[in-house]
Amino acid sequence: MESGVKKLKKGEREFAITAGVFFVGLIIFLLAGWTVLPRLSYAEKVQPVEFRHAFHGEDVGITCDTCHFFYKDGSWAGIPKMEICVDCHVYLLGQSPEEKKFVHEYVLKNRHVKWGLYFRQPECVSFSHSSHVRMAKVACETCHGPQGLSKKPTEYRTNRITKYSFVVYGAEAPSNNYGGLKKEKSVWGTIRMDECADCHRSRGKSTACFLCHK
Amino acid sequence: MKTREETSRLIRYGMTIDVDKCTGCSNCAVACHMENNVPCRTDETDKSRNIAWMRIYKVTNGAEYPLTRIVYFPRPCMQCDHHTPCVSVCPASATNYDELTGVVDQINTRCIGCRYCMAACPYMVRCFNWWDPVWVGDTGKQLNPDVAPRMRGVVEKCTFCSHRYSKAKNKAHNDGRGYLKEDEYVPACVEACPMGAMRFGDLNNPEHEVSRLIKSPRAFRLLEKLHTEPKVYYLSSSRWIRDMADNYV
Repeated sequence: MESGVKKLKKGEREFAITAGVFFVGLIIFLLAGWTVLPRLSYAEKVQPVEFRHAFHGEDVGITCDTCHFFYKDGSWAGIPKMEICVDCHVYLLGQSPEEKKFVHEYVLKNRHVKWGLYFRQPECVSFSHSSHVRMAKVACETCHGPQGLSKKPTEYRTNRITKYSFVVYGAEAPSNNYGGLKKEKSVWGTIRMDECADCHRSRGKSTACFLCHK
Repeated sequence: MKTREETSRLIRYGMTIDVDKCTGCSNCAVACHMENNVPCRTDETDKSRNIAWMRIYKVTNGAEYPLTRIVYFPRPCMQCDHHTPCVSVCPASATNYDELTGVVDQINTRCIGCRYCMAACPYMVRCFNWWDPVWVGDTGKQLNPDVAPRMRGVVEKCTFCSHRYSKAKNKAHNDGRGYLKEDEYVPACVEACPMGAMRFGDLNNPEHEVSRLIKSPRAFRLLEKLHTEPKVYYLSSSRWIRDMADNYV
């Protein structure tokens, strides 16, 4: 047996086994961390009604401020209320089964759609839309991502702990870094404090806490 | 270091309180409580543990009747402009001094509750949340949605109603204005004062009433000898009141 594998001493064999088990375990946990954990920490959600921004904007030709507008005191209207939808959707306007669902299930029954809100900030944060949109002329897409390109029903992922979300788009939309997705999808993360602070710094704006925190 | 000219161009929000007009009615304190979701307990007798952003101090001249005189000092945060004691000691950067407005703010979610700032503050302005706030019965319904309630274990203090500043700025920006008019941003206490004893505005803006008032010989500040340059000025015509302010209160 001189030419074959060198015979290991007892201590060396034990070390080899321990090291082997360690590395196999490391690889298993790394893989789990890359694939399973993101799925565990994020809840996948879809909107109750398949609303398409691209259809309303490009095909129907409605401008953004028809539904998303400022009140006179400078506060932001946010997600449109049912009354704004009903202005047009009093009855069926098209052939789409989703619109049928919307009109029959919500409009005619006088129910509100519980839209999934993926841009909600914690209660210690106050954000002024008019300061950013009217004064600083920041485009909506800078923070909200390519909402106007949502041709497919918008799905989003909510972190089960922090409640911050990622919006999932089709491949046609640009992405702002987030792993663990299929290639035909891209995502846009919601606005976290780091992103706000980075933008303020790069524009030379104040990063005083009370500007955003309340 | 900034030159004097540079500093004078910046906005420095400040307040004047005319103690000759003040009747000690505590309207300002109540308005402050309501506006800022300041918690209170059923038993508020322990004043070392209760929370008040605006406290009313009653001071007498110590003389026998009929020479007794009483004065009330409403005391919000003094918003010290120079070497702000609380800001310089905070290890968590939970409180900071805003260069643009001069407001000393408090970020409660960042506070670690070490209470170093409470020890540093010469005016005893800061309060510690010893318990989680409890809103008994319907009192929870009057909470102001513009101010986040604090949790136990953090320090809180008067912020010159900085949420009102944000709101006023919001409206101004919507109108395409980059500045605020004098009456657009006023803290709740100033608004509530029935005697008109309190004024609020930009101390560096000659068009604002406060900038004129602080130059009057009636104007003084509490503990001026510490040189923290408070931005809350008191006004009084009585000599004994002005003399007293620099010693204690």
